[in-house]
Amino acid sequence: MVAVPPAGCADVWWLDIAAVVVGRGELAELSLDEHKRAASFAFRADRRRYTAAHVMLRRVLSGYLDIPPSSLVFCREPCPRCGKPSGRPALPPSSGVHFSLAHSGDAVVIAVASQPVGVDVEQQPAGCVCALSADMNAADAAWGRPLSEAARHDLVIRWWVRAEAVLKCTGEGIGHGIGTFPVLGSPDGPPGPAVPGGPEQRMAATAVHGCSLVSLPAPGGYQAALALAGPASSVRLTVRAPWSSGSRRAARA
Amino acid sequence: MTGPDGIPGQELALAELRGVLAEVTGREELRAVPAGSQLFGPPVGLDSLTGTRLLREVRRRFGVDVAAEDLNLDALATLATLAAFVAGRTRLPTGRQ
Repeated sequence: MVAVPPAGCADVWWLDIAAVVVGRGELAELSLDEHKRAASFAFRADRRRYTAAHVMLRRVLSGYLDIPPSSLVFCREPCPRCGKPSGRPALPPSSGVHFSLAHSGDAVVIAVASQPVGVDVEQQPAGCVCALSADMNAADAAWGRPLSEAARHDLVIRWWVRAEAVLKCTGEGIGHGIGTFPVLGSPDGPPGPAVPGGPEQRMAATAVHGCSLVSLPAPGGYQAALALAGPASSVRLTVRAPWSSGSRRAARA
Repeated sequence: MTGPDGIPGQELALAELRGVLAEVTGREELRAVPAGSQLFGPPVGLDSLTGTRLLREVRRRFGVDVAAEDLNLDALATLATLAAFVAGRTRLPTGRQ
């Protein structure tokens, strides 16, 4: 059984979808709804991505709850802004386990904590993303103006994953606007890409919208961020499954 | 392809939107995706980032702010509903006069 991280801490699990084999045994762990959704994807790659991510999510969470992956029951919390059932996907409150799942390209990342948590990952997307500057908070957008186009693309995606991690943590999502508060600003300038550290590290956090926000060290070509509920000056991260070499093992844990 | 009174037909908007989908996702196969396809579910499967980029491109190319004019975002159900929404609010799409 995996211990649920204490307050101010989060576990991070990475999965490389390209390295995962989903067989009949793994498929049997998914719910009927998950099967229906997987079957509705027209493109094999999308079906595979969805299936692998949800098999991984169930296996990771079953380790914290000490119950079989197929026994997990998910619910959807109400949005804290509008009350609609569009808030955070969650386990029953009695579990004491909070999680967040994100995937992009071949990367899946799962965050687990004892308080609400939000995580996001994005592969550097196709084409120019400068148009998204119009959605940024004005203070964040200002950091991008003096940059070269390539550096601005990096900054826009860094902004996106940080903003989305916060909005996934609070359960608001991006439907109510993504640029209503700054996520990059500081007297020293915007944060650079997160530097990979050891499997356990304490990272300086930015207090944003009631959350503690950090940029996550991510695989090459990706950017990621994690937000924990409650403003704090740092977040302690434990990478339970690193990118690549450990991902396949983690999926079978 | 331009309809009566200079309003572009839904087919014209569809063709343009398929191109936008291929660009923001980097998936060329979406240039041939059926009109009835869901945008945020299978088979297009937009996520929040690509969905926001789609809306930005729609605003830039057609001058239509979908999020501001359709608060429930019903227009984003399928490619066809988005094309109809855009076609009904646009006179001439950029570069397709």
